[in-house]
Amino acid sequence: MEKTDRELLALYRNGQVDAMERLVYNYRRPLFGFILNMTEGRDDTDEIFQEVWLRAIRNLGRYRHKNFFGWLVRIAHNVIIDRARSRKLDLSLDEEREEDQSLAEVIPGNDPGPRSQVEANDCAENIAKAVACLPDDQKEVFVMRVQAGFSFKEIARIQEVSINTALARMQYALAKLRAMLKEDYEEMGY
Amino acid sequence: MQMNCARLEHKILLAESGELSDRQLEKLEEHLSACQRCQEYRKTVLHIISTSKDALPGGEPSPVVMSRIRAVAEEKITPKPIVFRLRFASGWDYIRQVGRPAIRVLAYAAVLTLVVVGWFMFLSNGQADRISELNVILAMMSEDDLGEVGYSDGSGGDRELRSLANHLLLMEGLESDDFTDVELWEIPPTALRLHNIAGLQQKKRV
Repeated sequence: MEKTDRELLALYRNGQVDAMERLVYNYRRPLFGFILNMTEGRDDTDEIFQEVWLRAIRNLGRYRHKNFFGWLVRIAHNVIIDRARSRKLDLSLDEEREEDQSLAEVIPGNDPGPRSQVEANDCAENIAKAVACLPDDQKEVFVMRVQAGFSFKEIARIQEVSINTALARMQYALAKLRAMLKEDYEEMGY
Repeated sequence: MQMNCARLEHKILLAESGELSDRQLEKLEEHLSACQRCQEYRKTVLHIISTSKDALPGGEPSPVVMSRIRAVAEEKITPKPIVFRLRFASGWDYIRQVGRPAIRVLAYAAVLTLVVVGWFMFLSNGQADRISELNVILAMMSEDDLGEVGYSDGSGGDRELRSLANHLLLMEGLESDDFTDVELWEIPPTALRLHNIAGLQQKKRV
């Protein structure tokens, strides 16, 4: 039977390193995915992922047994901010775009050919690029909600804002994505 | 009741994340059944979220990173040797956590001791100075001075001087039991020689 996070942490504190290894393994994909979407390079993602776990292991005494993954993401949020401040990362663009701009106008080299030529994987790529173009705070809310599956209450706690602010950021992110991917979505009937 | 569609966008997002109560959900559904705009909005939101879930890049950390994390986790829970615990190997951190209360107590005790000792030294020095001054005054009293009060032959003068000195020293707080032999000062030739004033001795207070 799969052990809970609390049980694994208790085993680790009693000296079982395998328990911590299990925890790292369980959350490797969602945490890595979150960090990858908040940065733009795989090397940075690996470094940040490692730093998050080092901080978590060193500060296990401060963990209050509420939501372990939420705690990890909060650490990741702080690490990313620290790195951005020290200019060690090449964070995604923070530019505001006109809402009536389509993604084809935003991303150079994108062939604005007939809609029938747009493949599903191109659409996915466009979505990924569009998300990368969101402002950092909106992108973080969007990625935490969509990829990590956090509730808005948890997102608000991680970002240290009110739940209404978190919801507003998500609204703006959705509006921007809809504008940037207008042609893709219209073709799909949305 | 007409609901504000703009405000309902938040409710639609909360419904999608499962954060609305049953009653709130019921009211939202009631509105959606009659509002085309909100229906369209919900449809768009759900579609963007579902397509983005698969579109967002993912991945896994490299095996090297996983190994490093395991190494740190292992080091953290490995008990340190007893020798390390007895030393100040972590230096300042250890002193701060363990030694700080003890150091603070010692520091307070040292300061208090210095204050008390200094006070007594001050008192004793002051007192010693005043006794010394009295002795000098007495030594400087000339034969002529003593002659006016009938001590010209030196007799009886000792007794009176002794009495005077005793009174003056008592004013300084010395008890009569403290008086033993006097310490003679070198007396200038013109001054009255003081000798054999028994019962007086300066106690040197350290």
